[in-house]
Amino acid sequence: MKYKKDIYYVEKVLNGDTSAFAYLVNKHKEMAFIIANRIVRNKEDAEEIAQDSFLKAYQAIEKFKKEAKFSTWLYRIIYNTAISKTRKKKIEFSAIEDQIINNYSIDEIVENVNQLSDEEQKIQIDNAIEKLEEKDSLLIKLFYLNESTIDEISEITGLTNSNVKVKLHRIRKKIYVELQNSFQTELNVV
Amino acid sequence: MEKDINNRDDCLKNLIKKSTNEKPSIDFTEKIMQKIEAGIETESIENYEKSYQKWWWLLVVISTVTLFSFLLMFDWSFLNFQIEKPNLDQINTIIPDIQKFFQSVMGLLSNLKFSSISIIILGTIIMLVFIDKFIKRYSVDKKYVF
Repeated sequence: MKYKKDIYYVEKVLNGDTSAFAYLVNKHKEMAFIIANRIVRNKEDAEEIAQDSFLKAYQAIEKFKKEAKFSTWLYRIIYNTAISKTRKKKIEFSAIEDQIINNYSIDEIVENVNQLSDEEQKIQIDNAIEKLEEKDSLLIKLFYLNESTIDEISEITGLTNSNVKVKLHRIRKKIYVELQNSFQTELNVV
Repeated sequence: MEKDINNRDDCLKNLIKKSTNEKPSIDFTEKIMQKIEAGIETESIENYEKSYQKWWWLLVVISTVTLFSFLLMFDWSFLNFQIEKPNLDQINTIIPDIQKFFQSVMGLLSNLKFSSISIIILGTIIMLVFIDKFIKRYSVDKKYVF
């Protein structure tokens, strides 16, 4: 489905056409869910948070400053809601240390990954992302999946631009390390 | 060098796009819109009740004051009735039974004497409460748009 620009639907909602909000929900629901799910790592909670956030956005739509992007404003609401609702539980994951990829070049890792089938690649990257910390996995999804700019990520998460850049650099490295580890494990098994 | 980095980044981007299996439930949008609609409906009923109560009470107060002013102040002699210009003493003589009734019901307050004005005010309030309840019963389930 082709959507018009967000501001078109925002104006309609502001003029009393409530049904126009459904277009905004449909357009942004997947990314909204991903943001919440990256933080809380639980699909039921993520769905509830995403829904609450859309309702908050609807109630506060008059406060939305039209010079900003609606999606960035909405994602910021979702991020804050998810953070505030996150239970302080320790998620057990095998922490990836800041390993230096001395043994393999990134090109080699990319080449190795490309040898895998689509399904295997999907499993490997899912595992690598799941092993990242919540906020790191959110950053990488915003950057690569939603193709958000550094400025937008900074606005959503409240991190500084330079902090976002540094974090993205480190997360990329972590993902490559994990992909190579998985590849090595598979080779050993074979 | 820059090209290499971009190529690697494209590879990572493709991998991440492939991996995405995070999707909300099918009725995600419907659930939100239902909540929004429910919110609007509740709001319109609340707004109706508030405005209805405000206008109703205002109207009743004005009508009551006007009616009693008319009854008490108007010169009724042209009707050739035995009714003379009513005054508070006359009203006191008309309603001694009501006075007695209230005094007997409120045994503990039997020493307290009700003036005619007190009884009129009390009666008006009770009547208004009943009228209010009666009107609400037939109007609250409807949807009002103002």
